[in-house]
Amino acid sequence: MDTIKKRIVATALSVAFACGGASAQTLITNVHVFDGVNETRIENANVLIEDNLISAVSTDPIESEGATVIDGGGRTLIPGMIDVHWHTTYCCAAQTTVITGDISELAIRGALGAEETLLRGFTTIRDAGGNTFSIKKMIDKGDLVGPRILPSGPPITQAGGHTDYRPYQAVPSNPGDSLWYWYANAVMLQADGVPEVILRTREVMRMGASQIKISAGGGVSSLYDPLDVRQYTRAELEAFVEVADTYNTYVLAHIFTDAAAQIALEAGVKSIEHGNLLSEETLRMIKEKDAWLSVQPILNDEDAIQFSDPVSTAKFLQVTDGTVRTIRMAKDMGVNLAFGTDMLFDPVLSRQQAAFVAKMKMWFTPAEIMVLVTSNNAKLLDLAGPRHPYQQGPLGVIAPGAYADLILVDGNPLEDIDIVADPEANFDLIMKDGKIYKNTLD
Amino acid sequence: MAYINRRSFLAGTAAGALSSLLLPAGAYAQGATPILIRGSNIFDGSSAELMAGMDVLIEDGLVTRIGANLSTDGAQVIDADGRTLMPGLIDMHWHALMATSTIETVLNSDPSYITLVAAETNRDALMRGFTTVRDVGGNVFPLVRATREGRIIGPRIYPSGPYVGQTGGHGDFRPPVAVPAGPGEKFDFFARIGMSLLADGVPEVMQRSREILRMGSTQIKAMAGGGVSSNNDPLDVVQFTFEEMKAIVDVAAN
Repeated sequence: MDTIKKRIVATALSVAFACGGASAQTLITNVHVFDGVNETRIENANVLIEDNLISAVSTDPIESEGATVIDGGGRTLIPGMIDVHWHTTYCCAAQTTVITGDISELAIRGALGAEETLLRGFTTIRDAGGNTFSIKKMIDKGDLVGPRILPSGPPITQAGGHTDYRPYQAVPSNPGDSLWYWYANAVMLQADGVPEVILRTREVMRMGASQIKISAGGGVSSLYDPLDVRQYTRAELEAFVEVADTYNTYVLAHIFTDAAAQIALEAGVKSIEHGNLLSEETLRMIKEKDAWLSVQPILNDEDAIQFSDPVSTAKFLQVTDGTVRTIRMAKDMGVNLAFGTDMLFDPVLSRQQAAFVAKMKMWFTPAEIMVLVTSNNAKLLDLAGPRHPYQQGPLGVIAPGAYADLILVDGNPLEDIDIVADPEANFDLIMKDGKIYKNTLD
Repeated sequence: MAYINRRSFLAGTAAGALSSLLLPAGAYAQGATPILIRGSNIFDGSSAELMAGMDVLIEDGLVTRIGANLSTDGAQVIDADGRTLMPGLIDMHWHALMATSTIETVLNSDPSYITLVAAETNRDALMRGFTTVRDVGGNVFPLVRATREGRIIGPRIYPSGPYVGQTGGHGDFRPPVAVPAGPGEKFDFFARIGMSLLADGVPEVMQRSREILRMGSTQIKAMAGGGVSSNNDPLDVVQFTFEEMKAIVDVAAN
């Protein structure tokens, strides 16, 4: 039903655009097209882009007078990649910024990081928490360079939950205490009890969120919540889901463990983020409820996140142990899987975002990975229904009517996934919304 | 059935003091000379047939007799000369405060100014034949009182008082940066002058509904779905959860 609503709007919008007069056309010739869905390429194809949408894909020559022609030179044309668990602002500021910096620093670092994100080939991201509303607005207007953003706004936490980063002395709080600086600036938010959950969820939707992010279980980077802790009561979780549903969208929840995941799924949460410690029983529940598991290849490898606090380091090791097993099980069981990277508080590690796509080869074939990070990830974004900010056409596919978010790749990532790990060298052209942001073909 | 018919409730209690609180307008025609309207064709408000050639006697603000060739003794006589006589019109969704003022004026003006304009608006409504309105939102209590006291002229008013709405709903006209609201920050000027109250969660919707009834509302107006004039709520959005809506209804029914 959400998808239907979305498409009705999409039709109305495309009619409106069609009336807009002469359109700019770009014709990309001589490419092998990975369309985002099929695991084999359309060989020797041509793709026509009109304004911001793809209008034709054909192995026959496409006549288009006045179009700017780009010779793909036998490269592979793929849809722009999608990261469903990205933090536009948290990615690119050190954790100490929360102590030493302010909202302006976070926003500026986020804006700088957004440009790098697009130039790594990620044309769309679901922001899994943070105040990205202005960055998104300015990217969409063309004032900044960056990916499309589906903002979750401030992640909502309980007192002592995963996104309660207040100093130790912040509790017990007084009823009249003003909001903590980062809460007041919508970088995070806290709610305890059903009435407050309802209020804060509405406030986040009012800010313009596409979906609601909550912290519903113990976290790694946080200090007050051991991993086994369930966060929020059943009634509170149901209140999040009900308010999101009144806005015709859904809730994604930070969760690692079975107990937390099961109660969240029962309450109606549709997207379990991380889930590294989940058992087969919980994975089956995700599948039965047609919910999603949003995974990250977070391993204790050369890219392991470094924490200043030993408590966080210990928790990180516990979680990474589960990663290998859980993703394999989920894949075998046919659970709805989506891919994200969840880079946190490390601008240097964040540059490895595309390399994390290639890490999925531990579980998937290269072609499976490419489907995962394009059309499959786009399906998860569609759960936002009418709150999905990009309603003109589908994302993550190369097909007539789809957004012209495209990458021209030197080589065939359906055979060698390591190609996408080095976007600087191998992505020769990056287009988003019909506009070229990188072109090294000459 | 939790609802009590107004007339049966008043008959049952026989409490004159209470009835004057609940009735929207007092008897301001008391003690005046009776009026006889002579020779009209009456539409009585329910029958599809006109009653031809009738006289109507009005005493103390009420219609007391309807018939042919009524006595004119001591009455001021108005000759209808064959015109149709009908009940005053009733508008069930009227905004005295917003019918003529723009939304910018309402949001950015002193409440005294808005109320004075609304008095003029209501006078015009009466002159268009609307003798009763259900006012569906905003602080019209001064108009109710001044109309009852005969200081201004206008329709009878069934006031809803401030509407109760959720954060981000059709009654939330606060600026974008009003959220997240800290303790004590939820009510902007518009709320404090009784135009629109925000309530989230069952305890708060109960409290605000009771406050609105305490102000003298005859019914509660709730903002329960996406609106056109508001900035933060697409049309598809459902406003208030089931439990919140039920709490508002429960408080009103009580």
